[in-house]
Amino acid sequence: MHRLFDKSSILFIKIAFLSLLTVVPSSYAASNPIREAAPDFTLSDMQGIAHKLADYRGSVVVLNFWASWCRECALEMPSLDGLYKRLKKDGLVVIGVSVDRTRADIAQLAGKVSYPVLLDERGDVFVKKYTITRLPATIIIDRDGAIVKKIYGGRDFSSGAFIGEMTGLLQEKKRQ
Amino acid sequence: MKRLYGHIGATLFTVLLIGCGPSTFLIDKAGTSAYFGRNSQFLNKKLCTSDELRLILADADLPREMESDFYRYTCSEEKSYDKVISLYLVLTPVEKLRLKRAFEKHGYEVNRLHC
Repeated sequence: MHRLFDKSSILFIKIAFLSLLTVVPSSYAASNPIREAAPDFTLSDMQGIAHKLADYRGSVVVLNFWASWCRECALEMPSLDGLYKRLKKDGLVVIGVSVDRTRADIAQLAGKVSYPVLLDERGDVFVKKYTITRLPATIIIDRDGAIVKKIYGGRDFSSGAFIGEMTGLLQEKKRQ
Repeated sequence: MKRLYGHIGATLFTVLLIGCGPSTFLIDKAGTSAYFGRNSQFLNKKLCTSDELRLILADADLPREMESDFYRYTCSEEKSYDKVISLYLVLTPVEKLRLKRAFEKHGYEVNRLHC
């Protein structure tokens, strides 16, 4: 071993191996961290049009749960809308799910975004299907309908890291 | 002295951070306390066996389906603290307050300093 490689080479290999140990889990986590099937549901939007999650199979779906009284939810919405506008053409679907029960409250925020906002007034999807324990909550679903990431709390969706992550997810599935 | 204050500040911040995880609220009766919805003997005895929870939920005047879901996820075999937290999140601020007031009406002390 020592004849084949000098000290600096061995050091380089050690560093490379350690780097690999660090990099492999993180890239794996970006593409396959959860991989559980996203529970299907049908909810209506403000216009009464029914949306079935399974109908979006083949697209990368960002499911964003929010409530009008949740300040963090309102704060992250413009960046989520920006992400949607930027990656819609590549197959990104953003769906907002409001757990409010007053239409006027929903309309106030829903009117500010261009993606569909569905009404989960009885909390059936929120509680029984996804059991969300913090708001806002964002679920990333891949083209196969599997959950790849759950984000609890507010997030800047316009960050380079997040856009890169989404772009990677969109491209990854396009290759298959 | 500045360093001491720094340490105290950091400790408080950590405690706040840890204490602000997803939860419902603390209810206390006769010196025993538990988070509403959490699986505990105290809750089971006080709220479920005596059926007091049904009265409290009725007093809170929540939507009918939510009332039965709160009972189901606190007292039945489908007990789930995560689902109680989730249900609690869905309540409007006014409903959350009504639920706490209903507990107080039945002799419980509610931790108003919850996160």
